[in-house]
Amino acid sequence: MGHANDWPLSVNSFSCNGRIKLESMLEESTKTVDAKLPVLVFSTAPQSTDLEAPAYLPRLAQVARWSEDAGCTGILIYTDNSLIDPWLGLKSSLKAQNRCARS
Amino acid sequence: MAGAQVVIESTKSLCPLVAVQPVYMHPYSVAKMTASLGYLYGRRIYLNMVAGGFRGDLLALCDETPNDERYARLSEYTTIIKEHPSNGKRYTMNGKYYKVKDLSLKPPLPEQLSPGIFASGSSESGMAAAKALGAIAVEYPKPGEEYAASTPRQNSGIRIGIVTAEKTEASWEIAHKKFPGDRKGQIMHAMAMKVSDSQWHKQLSEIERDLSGKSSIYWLWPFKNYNTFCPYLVGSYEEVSNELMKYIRAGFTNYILDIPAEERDLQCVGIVFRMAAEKASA
Repeated sequence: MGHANDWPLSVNSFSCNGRIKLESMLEESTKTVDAKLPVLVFSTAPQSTDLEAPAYLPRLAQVARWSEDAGCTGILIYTDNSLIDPWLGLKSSLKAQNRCARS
Repeated sequence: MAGAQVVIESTKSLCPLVAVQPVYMHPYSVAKMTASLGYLYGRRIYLNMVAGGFRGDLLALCDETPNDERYARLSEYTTIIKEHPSNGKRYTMNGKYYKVKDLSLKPPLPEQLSPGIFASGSSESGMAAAKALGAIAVEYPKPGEEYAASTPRQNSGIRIGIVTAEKTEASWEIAHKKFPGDRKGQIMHAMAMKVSDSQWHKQLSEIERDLSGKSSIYWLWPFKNYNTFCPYLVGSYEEVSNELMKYIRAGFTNYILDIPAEERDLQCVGIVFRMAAEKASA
């Protein structure tokens, strides 16, 4: 991966499609999905305590897609002592890095 | 793969709003995680800064910090996260709770991906902390009419559940099916009331007593049964959009909804928000 000081280059080389891809990513991630609304709406993710382990991640992905399709800006992922960590994703990171390495 | 990354990888633009409890990790870890996800995916992360949470969770970690002081700690914690991505330079804080020296964040985040910050605005100390941080202050709202005479909020949001349908009867049918009532839940709610030191818990319980027996679009039954912690709005598209319009006119611009049970829940929410926005701007 690139050095931190050349962040845009690093991301562009990671994303494999040059600067246009980066600008597109930034635009997608910072816009108000439904620009006509004067408000931002966030949904909430299902909790791991309500589902069996194999069912949790597919359900989270499903609710995330519903939220996006409905025009939500984001989705809240809770944290407390009883829930899975809201951040971690080793498998996904490795998958992303492998994509980059192949490019 | 879990949490924030599933959200990012399953969608094109949806932003994770990740709850952050200061006792779980150092603020630098949060800043690093936010920057790393921005670096990998170009996606903005929102952070929901939690001062309290469940009292038992904190006690299990031997954290007995009083409520007001937790907000002071949260302010320092959040400042470290905010300062980093915004300037990309070295940062020093010699605070009461956190000390960092010449700390830098790599990879630095571009301005567009600086994390959006939410914090609880239900108590005076929480509201003060949110304002000082420039965070979106989130409240558990009272019924909409109670904001009619108040000064319009700025940079504020509410946590609310919504059950709505074209007709009133259909919405209540869905609501009662979703939250049928639960004796065990009611006992847990009563127990939580006794041990909680959160202002919002007390505020909602007072509203619950005021509304007891009255028919209202503002519904606390799920809260009372320990199904969820936020009030619900239940009614037809027309009724719910009228209520949302009051919140929009009161200045609330951010809405965190409860967990949807099915896709229809969010589709209907989209309808009532569009109606409310049109009414509010009329």
